[in-house]
Amino acid sequence: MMFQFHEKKYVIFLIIGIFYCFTNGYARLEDGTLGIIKLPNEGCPVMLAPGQTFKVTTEQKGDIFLIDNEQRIIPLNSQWEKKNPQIYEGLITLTDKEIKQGPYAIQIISETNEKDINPRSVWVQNEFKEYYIFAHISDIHIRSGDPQDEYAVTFQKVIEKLNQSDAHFILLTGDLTHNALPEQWQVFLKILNKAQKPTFVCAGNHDRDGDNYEKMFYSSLYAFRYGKDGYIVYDTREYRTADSWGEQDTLLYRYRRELKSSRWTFGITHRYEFTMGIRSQMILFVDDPIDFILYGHIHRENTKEEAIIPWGKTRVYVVPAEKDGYYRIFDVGEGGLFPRPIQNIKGK
Amino acid sequence: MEKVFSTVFFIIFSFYLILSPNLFSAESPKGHIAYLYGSDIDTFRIHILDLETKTEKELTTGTHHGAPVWSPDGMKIAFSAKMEGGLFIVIWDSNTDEYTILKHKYSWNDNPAWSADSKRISYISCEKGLTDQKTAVYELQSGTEEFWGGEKIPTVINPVWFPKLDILNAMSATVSQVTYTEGFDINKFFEEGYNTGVLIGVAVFPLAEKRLTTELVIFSKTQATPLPKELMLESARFEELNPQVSPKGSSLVFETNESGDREIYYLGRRGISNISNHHSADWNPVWAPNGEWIAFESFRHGRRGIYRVFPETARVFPLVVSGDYDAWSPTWSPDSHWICFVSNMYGKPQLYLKSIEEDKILPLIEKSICVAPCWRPKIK
Repeated sequence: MMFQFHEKKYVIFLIIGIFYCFTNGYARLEDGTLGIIKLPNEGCPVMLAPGQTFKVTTEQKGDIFLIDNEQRIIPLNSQWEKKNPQIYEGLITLTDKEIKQGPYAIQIISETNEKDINPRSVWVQNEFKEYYIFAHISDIHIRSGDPQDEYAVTFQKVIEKLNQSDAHFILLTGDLTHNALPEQWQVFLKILNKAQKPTFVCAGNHDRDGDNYEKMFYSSLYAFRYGKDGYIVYDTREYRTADSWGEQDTLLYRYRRELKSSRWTFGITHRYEFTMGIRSQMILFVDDPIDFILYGHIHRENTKEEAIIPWGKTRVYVVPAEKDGYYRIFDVGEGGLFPRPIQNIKGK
Repeated sequence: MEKVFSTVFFIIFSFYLILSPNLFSAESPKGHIAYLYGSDIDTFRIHILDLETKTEKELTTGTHHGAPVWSPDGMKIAFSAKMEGGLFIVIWDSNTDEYTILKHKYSWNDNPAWSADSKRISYISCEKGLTDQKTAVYELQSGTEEFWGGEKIPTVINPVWFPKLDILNAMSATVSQVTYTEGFDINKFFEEGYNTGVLIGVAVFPLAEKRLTTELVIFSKTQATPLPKELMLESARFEELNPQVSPKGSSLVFETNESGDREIYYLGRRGISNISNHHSADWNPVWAPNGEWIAFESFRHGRRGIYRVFPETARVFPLVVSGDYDAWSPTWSPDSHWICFVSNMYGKPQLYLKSIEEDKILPLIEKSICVAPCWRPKIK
């Protein structure tokens, strides 16, 4: 009888295991690109408290579920709107007041019965603290499809270090890969998904190969709130940094306006150059200046002369390259943004 | 009697039909529109669409094309393109289908603008990443590149040409005492201006409190001065941008954040006035070729939309406004009856046409991404 109980237990574990593999097998397409669910995803998650609302962007309408770490499935009600011929947007309210704090995968079962899951995409927080902490890394430069590659190993060690830290979320400001090749993205995602905190990414100049970045994270321009504070994540791109021809200026203006009431507003990007699109600079640094900008790209800390964007209001914090083992943790409170000393896992 | 009356009526009505440009142009916009097409900024190339035949031509020299700019005579397109050694200004000749790659001193050259006689091109020029962008002027006939504005001129962005010097003369007459910058020789400025032209641009320079500001500067080959302070707002406190001279050269518009948000100001013979006046941002003014209207972009109804304003009265009319999509980058047809613009109404940015008189919006090109349209001026 005892033996039979154990057998049953194994069968249950086996079913759970198969279910886990099954559901995770649908996470993204085989080449690592996004499937039916575009947003939220592991690089652009949502953080919200029970009772709050979030949006899901998909290729198809369907039933939406959250899945927690123990594979419990929570059905959600969504109100769908067709945004354009290819994209639907679902408005979802987290009505379950008892939902546990922590990370959730988001799952869709579409009207055509196709399933898709994005892991680590919804983070339920019981409260958003006025004093909180985040980590900033940049320039990871994953160079191959080998997870044992030096760059991948360094990234894994930094993620492990940040998992042990008191940071509430992690910002990764571009050059996530070296050439934006599919195998590099796959290694990057595999390690990113070991993070036990929400991870917000932006594109760097090395992450551009056509629309590869968008296939991985859908949007290179988005905004989010943490408590009283607002974050605008944007893309300065390569060669012509922040041009004015496309939609970027529109979204920057809209996000800046939406976050106007924030206690502090942060710009999260890969680089700042004076020669970047003048309209973007007017929106972010002149007409209604953001308080802080965090970026990488130059693989060193900013100098004292570089501590303020030349337009005079926005404070600059540059973190040296993660590929060399660097990361930095910040405290945020009523008094502003307080950087802790830059850390290095390689003992530099 | 009745027959005579109906004959007269028929003749008058026929004349009305023939002479009314609105009626005909609203049905069939003609000409060519150049625009950028590609999957993103790294793959943009200029395409030219013939509105009548719907055929297209791709300009193939270089990569990473910048926005196309037709010459005022409608014969050539100037654009920047990436090639070995940097970013170059390229001229495409519609007559010969040949490209001329300008020879530059510096490796980074962008934002071309044609002089009114189509003989010169101005552009910003620097080493990549440097902040000291200079304004270069290239004379096509002699193939020479010069740097304008004299040695003291600061970094200038997006310079454009005055088609005539009327407004400059008018400005001098507007106020009894006009203050120019120290060392500025007004006589030499006008002498050079009448010979080779005058540019206006946005100068970026540091203030005493170690921050940058912008100011509108007018400059000729060797002379440069900020627009006289008697004519302008208190410019050190505000950032001006995007000056656009009217087609006849009799007035100009520009943006400033003087009111706490971006507004469009009109500077004419009777002084300066705010012609957009809204608490949402108003930006990117574009003169209609007939000089009567200015199209501009505004967020006053939430999304980015296109409006037109009659500068003499500051009356604003919506052109393309929706709560569901954004519209931007208007370019006028040569007869000033149509605009072509970019919109994300079906997802990614595509080109559309809109008659000034009618509400209907016509999709122009269904492929995406298409941005930075520029309508070919009337061929001279």
